[in-house]
Amino acid sequence: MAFEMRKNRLARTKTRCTLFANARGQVAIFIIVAIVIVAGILFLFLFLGRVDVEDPLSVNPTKDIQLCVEDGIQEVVVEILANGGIYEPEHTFAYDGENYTYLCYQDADYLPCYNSFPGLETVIENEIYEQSKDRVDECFDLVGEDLERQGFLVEFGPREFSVDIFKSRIFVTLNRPMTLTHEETIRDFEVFDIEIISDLGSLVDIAREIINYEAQYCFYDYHWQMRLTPEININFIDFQTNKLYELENRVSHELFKFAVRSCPNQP
Amino acid sequence: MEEGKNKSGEIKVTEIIGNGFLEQFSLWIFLIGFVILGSSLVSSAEGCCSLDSSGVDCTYIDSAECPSSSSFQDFVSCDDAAFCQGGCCYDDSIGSYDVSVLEANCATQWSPDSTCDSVPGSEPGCCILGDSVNWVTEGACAINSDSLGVETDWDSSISYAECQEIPSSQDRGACVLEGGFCSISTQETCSSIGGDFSSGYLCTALSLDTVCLMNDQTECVSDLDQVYFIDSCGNQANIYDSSKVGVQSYWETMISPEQSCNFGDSNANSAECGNCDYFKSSSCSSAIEDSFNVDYGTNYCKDLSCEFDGEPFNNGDSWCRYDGAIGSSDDVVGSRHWRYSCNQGVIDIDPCNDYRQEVCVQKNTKENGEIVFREGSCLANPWQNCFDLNNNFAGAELVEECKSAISCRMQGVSINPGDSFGFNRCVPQYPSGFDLKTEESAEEAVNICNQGTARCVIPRKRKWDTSCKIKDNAHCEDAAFTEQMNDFCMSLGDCGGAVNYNGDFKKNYAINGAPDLSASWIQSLISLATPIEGQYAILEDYSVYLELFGINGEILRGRELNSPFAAAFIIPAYYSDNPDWYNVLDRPLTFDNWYDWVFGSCSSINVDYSCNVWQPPVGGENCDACNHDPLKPCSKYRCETLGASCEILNEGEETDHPEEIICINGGAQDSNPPIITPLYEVVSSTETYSSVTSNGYSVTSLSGGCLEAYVPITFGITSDEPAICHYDSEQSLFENMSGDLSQNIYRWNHSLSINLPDPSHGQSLGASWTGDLDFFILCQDSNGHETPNFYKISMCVNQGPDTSAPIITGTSPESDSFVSFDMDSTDAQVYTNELSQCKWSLIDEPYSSMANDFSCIDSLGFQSSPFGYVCSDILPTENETNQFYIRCADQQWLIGTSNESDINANEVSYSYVLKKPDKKIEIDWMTPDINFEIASESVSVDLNVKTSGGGDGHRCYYSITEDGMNIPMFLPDENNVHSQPALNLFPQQWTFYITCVDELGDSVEDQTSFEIIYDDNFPRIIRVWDDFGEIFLITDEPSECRYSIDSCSFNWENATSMGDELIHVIDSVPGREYFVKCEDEFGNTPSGCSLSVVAL
Repeated sequence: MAFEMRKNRLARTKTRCTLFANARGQVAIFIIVAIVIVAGILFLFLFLGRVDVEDPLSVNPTKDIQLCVEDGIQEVVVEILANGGIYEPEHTFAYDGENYTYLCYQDADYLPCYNSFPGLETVIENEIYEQSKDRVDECFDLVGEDLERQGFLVEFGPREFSVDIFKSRIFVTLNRPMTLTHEETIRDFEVFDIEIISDLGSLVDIAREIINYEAQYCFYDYHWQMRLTPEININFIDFQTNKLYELENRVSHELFKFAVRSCPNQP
Repeated sequence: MEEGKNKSGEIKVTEIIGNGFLEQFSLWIFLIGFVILGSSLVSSAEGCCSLDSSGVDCTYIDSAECPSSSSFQDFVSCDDAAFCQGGCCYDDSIGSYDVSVLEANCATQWSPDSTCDSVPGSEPGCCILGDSVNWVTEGACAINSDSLGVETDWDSSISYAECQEIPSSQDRGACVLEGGFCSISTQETCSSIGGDFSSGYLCTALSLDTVCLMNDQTECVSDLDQVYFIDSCGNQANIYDSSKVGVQSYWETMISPEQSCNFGDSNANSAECGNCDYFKSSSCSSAIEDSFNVDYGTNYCKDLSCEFDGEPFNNGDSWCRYDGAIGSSDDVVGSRHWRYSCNQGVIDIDPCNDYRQEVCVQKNTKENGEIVFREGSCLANPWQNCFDLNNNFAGAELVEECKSAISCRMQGVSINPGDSFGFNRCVPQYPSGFDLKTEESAEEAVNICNQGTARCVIPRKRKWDTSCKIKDNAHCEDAAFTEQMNDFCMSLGDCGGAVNYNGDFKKNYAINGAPDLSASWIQSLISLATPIEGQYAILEDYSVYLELFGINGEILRGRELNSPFAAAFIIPAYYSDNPDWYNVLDRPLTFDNWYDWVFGSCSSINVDYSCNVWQPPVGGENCDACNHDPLKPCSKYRCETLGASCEILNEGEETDHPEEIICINGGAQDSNPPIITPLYEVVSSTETYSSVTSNGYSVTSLSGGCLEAYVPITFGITSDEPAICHYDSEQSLFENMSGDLSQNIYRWNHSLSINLPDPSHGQSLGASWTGDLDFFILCQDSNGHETPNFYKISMCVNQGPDTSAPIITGTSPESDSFVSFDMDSTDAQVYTNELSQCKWSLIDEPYSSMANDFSCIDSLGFQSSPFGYVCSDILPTENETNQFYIRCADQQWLIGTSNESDINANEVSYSYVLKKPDKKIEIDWMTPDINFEIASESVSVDLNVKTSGGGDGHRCYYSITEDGMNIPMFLPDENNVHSQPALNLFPQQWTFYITCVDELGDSVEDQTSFEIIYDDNFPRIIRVWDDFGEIFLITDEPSECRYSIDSCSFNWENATSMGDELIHVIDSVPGREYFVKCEDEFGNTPSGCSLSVVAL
């Protein structure tokens, strides 16, 4: 490899020497260089700061918006998984450097816990919505600005945005009338629904099962649950008067963790 | 005078001293202080706060700390506060139901039924969503189905397991869309997206002409065990088989696992075949993550099985292991029951609660004689219940109750069938361990072990040749006495001569009058520290608990729970509300063997066994034994039983790395013996310490002289570090000293209460004691360091003549107390400060005239009760009020001698009254006691029983069969209402058999019957008539009826109400037609009209 490089260098040097030995050739070179410089200047003025407008009929901002929103929601989902469904939890338990959100808590000894977040799926859907809505608007703004730079007139209508969690996916309903106008071409977009593959729903299902059992019986047979749903690994930590649950999907590795304090100090 | 108990359990008598001025001054200070304090008390009360400042619901705090926006109820526990009652929070529009939710936290609908069982629609069932299933409520199923665009298909009649099998039974195939795109789905799903469905075909079938092609990539599929090929479109194809790569025929139609490679094998760790079987401990897993070389693709069948102690276990298996022999009260000190499980190839250690608060029970499932599944579970050990039964039952009834109770057994002592000494008690199968480092727990341990302290009295009489002849209990002097008593002692808990799990024997008992345990006997105890192969804790019948608490097969939310095990959590809940499970069986016998030094005569021989709390060997040379077994991580209990100075490190710290929890010798740096100083806090009001030096002191009267006879005195020492202190009348080795100042617990303070007799009494019996007494004390710390010199406590007792009559210090039962309503006689005991003979009469008459003798078998210096010398008799208690007069006389040994006139008898009778309650304990009412209807398959019911009459301590039990196991109900409230909440009952006829007892020994039985009717029928109109402008209707059950004049399909909300009872009325217009619909309390209503009627 090194030898070949040296060979090429020598070859180029040889070529240069040959060229400069010919005066006519010098003029030709100067002319070529001048053309290149002029073309470059023309290129700079014509193309810098301006994006080529492709055929207005082929522009489709849907994908860009969807990708942007999906990224934002994914970030929120990661935070929610780690915090037991609450983006910024107030009541948590710290263990081994991690915070576990109390989803069911009882202050008095021997008594079962109170479910702090009934309708956990709905709570989480609302959390995702609240934490994502600004990002959704930002995504529309970003894409809109980009289209404007391309010469489009972009008009937006009111936004409708909701989040629904299902067993193995998160469905984002996102509707916003969007009109792109370029010269005489007008295009309308409205539906930007997104389907995110995520096991958050199935993890939350099991979490609710755990909470309901702990709230009623102060006990949950997690080994039995793992036999029923082998794709979910449940790590249980019994520490002081707290029960810490970590639910992990073995395939996607999504981890949902939370704490329960039920029937503390039970003999 | 004020009575109180000192640390050794003896009664201590103190006196509040004050002069006039001091009293008045103190009173003013007290009143002023009370006003100041009282005002602050009034403004700041404790109570239940609905939401504290840190966001915690229902905390019991000071009112000043409760935010103003929260509700507060003072002096009320949160359990009773109205705003802290959990209920069911539900949203039937989406089928969501959550239990134990505070009403304030529920944003949707709320019902006071905290279990949601009675809330319609809460029952889960099988929701079929195309090619997958979900176990949810019908409402949730509708939501999910709607999102997928499929019809709601919900079935509550099939089990959870059957539901899980549905996807595999559905007809699936290739769904081809326009353009050759293809996916695998069910026909229903395919139709919904407008595709052409080919049942049983793969998308790579040539005949379907799709864009999807064969591939050598694999994937794991959710809900399936095997490794599957995926085609170029990402669709699931057939099971991975390396020999089928590129073979078109394998990519045409769907091939079942049974027809795929190596069916029947687990195919664990196979590079060629992905036909995994979860039930044979293999499942699809990522080969990349596990660094496994598979021939094609990125997935393989991972081996999920485990190996433990050389024995293979399948994935999902769980099993028990123990530290030694178990059951029959054989569990060794420090032992624990261990539960392990094989979880996808990893062994999980899940030990049962320490101190043997839980036991591990294992159930093996066999097929063709081979174990195919093992299931171990930790169940609560209700050992307190066994002791509790002794308080409420006796004789044959006790035996019956004990045998039917969970984890209890009878343990008796009977040295010789003909002897009168012996007893039978209900004890735990698995005795509890004790935490001796906590003062409260250590005192409880002392009380428990004290139940095993007993004295066998061997009465003797003089023969014609002046020798002594044994009348009874001769075999108490045999080794069998020590052995049986020690067995009984061990059955109570960590007590007596026993071994720890490391096989270290420690004596921890005292025996006087019988041999110590033999070496061979001790060896047999040591052998208990070796687990017995194949021995498991007994799987008892929890079915009564389960049935009543709704845990029965598929009932509990459709989950198929392992029914014998799910009851574990119920039992502890009972004891959490019943802190008084423990009562001292009998007064523990005192053990004053130091009188042996002084007196010796042809009196009864007392053989005493003292059951002490088990203490580990001194020092810490064995601490490290706790640290070597990663499968049995060390714990505080295990560590502390290895040595008296062993300490646990890092337990309770924030780590789940067991190897960081270690047991060390905490006393390694300690080389100093304890230093002893006088303990001033316990000294009685009639004595003081004199001549105090670093080597001891004297206990004298307040004037510095000798002490008075028969007046209880208390004295003690304190050590500068926790120590065990022994004493004796002679200087001897620590381990040979006969007295224990510490009750075998490492303490700081050590005290003794004694009652010294008059030396002249002993002299008249031939003894030579002059009244001087010395106690030589040695103390030893947990590292075995002993005090180098004896600490000496001296005292003397004033010698006679005895001119005072005996003092009756107390009775049992106490005077003016209640006795059994049913019984016509009562065992009574009288305690005196000196050895006496007592008599009783129904009239107040001189001692010599009293015709009824108490039985007084104590001998001089051997009072069998801490309250004094004991005399007992059976007194007639036939009347509502029974008055007795008791007098006692001392120095009975002077009878028939020339000094008989020196006998002192009481001149004034002791008035003793025993009363019967107005009425015997009875059951006033029980609920439920009437039939009722429900609209669900089960309902949560509170069983309540109200008692009255009898004594003050009522306890009730219930059973669902006439001779079945009696289950204790919760302790009664102030109105004597006993409850058993949250019984999960099903529609059927129920009868509960109730037995209530009181502390007087009376009992009452009753039963309550009711039928729970499942009502899924809408109300029917059984009669209708018109009466002068009014139409009357009668329904067959209370219901709300409404009507419209439009049609049967009217809007319920807008219709006119006709009432919500049985009779309903319409103000009618002649000729008009009325359409009526009725709905019962459960929401049952006909789909159309209940009735249409035209008014006349």
